[in-house]
Amino acid sequence: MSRRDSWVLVILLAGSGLAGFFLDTYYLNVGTEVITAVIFAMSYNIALGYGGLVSFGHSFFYGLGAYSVAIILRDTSLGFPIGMLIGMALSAFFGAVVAYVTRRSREVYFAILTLGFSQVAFFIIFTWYEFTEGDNGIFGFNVGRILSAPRNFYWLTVILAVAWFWVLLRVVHSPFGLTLKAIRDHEDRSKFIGLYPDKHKIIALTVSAVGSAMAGSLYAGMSKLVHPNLLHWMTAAQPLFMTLVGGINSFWGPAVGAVVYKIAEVFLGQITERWTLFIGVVLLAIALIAPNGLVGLVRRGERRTNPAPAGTRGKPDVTPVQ
Amino acid sequence: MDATIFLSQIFAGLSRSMLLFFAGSGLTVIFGLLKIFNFAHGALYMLSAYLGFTFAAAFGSSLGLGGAVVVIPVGVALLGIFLERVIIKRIYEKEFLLQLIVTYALSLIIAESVLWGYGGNPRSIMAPEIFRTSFALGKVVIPYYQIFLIVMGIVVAFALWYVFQKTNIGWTIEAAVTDRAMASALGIPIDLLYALTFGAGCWLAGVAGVLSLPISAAAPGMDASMGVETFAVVIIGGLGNIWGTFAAALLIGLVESLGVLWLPRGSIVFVYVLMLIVLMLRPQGLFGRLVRGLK
Repeated sequence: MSRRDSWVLVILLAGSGLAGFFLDTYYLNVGTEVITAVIFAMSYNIALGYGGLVSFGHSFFYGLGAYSVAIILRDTSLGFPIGMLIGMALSAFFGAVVAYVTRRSREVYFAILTLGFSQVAFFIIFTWYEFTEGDNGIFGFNVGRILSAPRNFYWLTVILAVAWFWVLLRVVHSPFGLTLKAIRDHEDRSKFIGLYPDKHKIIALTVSAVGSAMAGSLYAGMSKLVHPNLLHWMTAAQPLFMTLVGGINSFWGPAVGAVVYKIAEVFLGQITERWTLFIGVVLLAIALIAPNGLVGLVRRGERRTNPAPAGTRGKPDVTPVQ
Repeated sequence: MDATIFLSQIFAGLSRSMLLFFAGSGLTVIFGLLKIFNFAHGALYMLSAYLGFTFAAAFGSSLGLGGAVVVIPVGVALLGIFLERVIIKRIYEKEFLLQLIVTYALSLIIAESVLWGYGGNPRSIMAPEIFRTSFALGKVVIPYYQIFLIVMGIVVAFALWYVFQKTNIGWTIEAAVTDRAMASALGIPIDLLYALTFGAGCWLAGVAGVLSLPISAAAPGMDASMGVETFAVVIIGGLGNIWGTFAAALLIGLVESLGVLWLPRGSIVFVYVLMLIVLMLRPQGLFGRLVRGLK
């Protein structure tokens, strides 16, 4: 882990923490929401950017975290932290299951399969109304005396976020993380040198699932409302946007993207309901305006699966990832 | 279970299958030759539905729908060719994530532009006069429009099969799919072929969109819902395989419409479960090849 990353963590912690003293309730909640989006995007990028897994299924884990909190708080007196931990544990389990089932699926098949998973989960939550209250959602639950204060909940979110980023940094810079990147860059070659891609991809997806669940739990704790839409695949597309806009190539890219996305959502959203049109334009522009395969946005230029034409070996367009 | 309801659901399901087939065949044709999974397909479907509505509403439903199904898909095809020349051609042979970004961004732009123009209220039209009646099969009442769709679907399936298997242009496309460099060296205009193929795929999506109007309204979200179902169809059927798409469309249409009898609000989940099962047992889809191609 580079010194710069450590400094970023410290600044984030200090900056966000201090801001907590000065913000009023509305902005504290906005801040909490933005930070949960950042957690979601950063966790998602473990699968997308570092694992090369284009998933539309992370809304499953996000929603699982949210609903765990909601149901635990509604039906038991175990409190918010337990609810969140249960959500994270469940997501770890289901993340591993999904990853295992899809371990051999490539590219578009993987994407559509994960979409299917999140939609099945959405459907289950939507129709199991005895337990989840279906389309009505669960709302108004009590997060506990201490956490009900927006400022306290905001600080909890900040602390958990920074802690989780530290964990992700350790993961990414560990031998596991480096191996994961090798697998992402060229899975066949990684097999040739004796690596086992399945194991790494499963772990990567599980880690990203846990982070997504934490984000969902924190969101639920802040908004005190959960709805089946949290599991819909269109919710899963959000961290994808955020990561793409911010840059999948870098560790902090998704954080930037999440903030930009949220700002767009709030401000552009006030101007027009069709604000996602601008997201589309921005994405398209980013995707196309770059020489030779998008340095900085998309790492690899040439497709791995087609045999390279005679005389040209597709060279990986490797941009150093910090 | 009441036989009349069962039968009427079968016909409803089959006619929906045909719409899925039209859309899916476009997607699978594009993938078979261009190797691009067009995430914007649902948005094109949506565009043609809304445009078809405007056209048909202007000319009265009898002439209107017929005219719309002739005119609008061609317009959408032209748009497709334009997009192909300007945008899509830049992502050939590039990695999947990039293709996903570009086509998904396009789908956002198209769908949101449509909604910007039309607003959020659903639009629908009635079937043309001739089709507005139903006939009785015993105790079952079946709208003629559904029969029309089923017949059209079979006709188009055969037409596509014929074009790809029996005509020069079909063989030319197959050659370009098999070995692009060689085909180009033999003088086949690859760029033109690619553009026309993408246009043809968009045309098929356009037909699906226009023909869907009497059955379901043009409404916000139709790009996502139809899009996802279309993806399921081509993936279950096998990417690049037209008959596979046909079979999968039949399967999915029936599964959904019969599933409604069991789970009214969630019949779509059967489709997802079906997709999961098929892909786990046979990753290339029911009829797909492991190496991409067009069949």
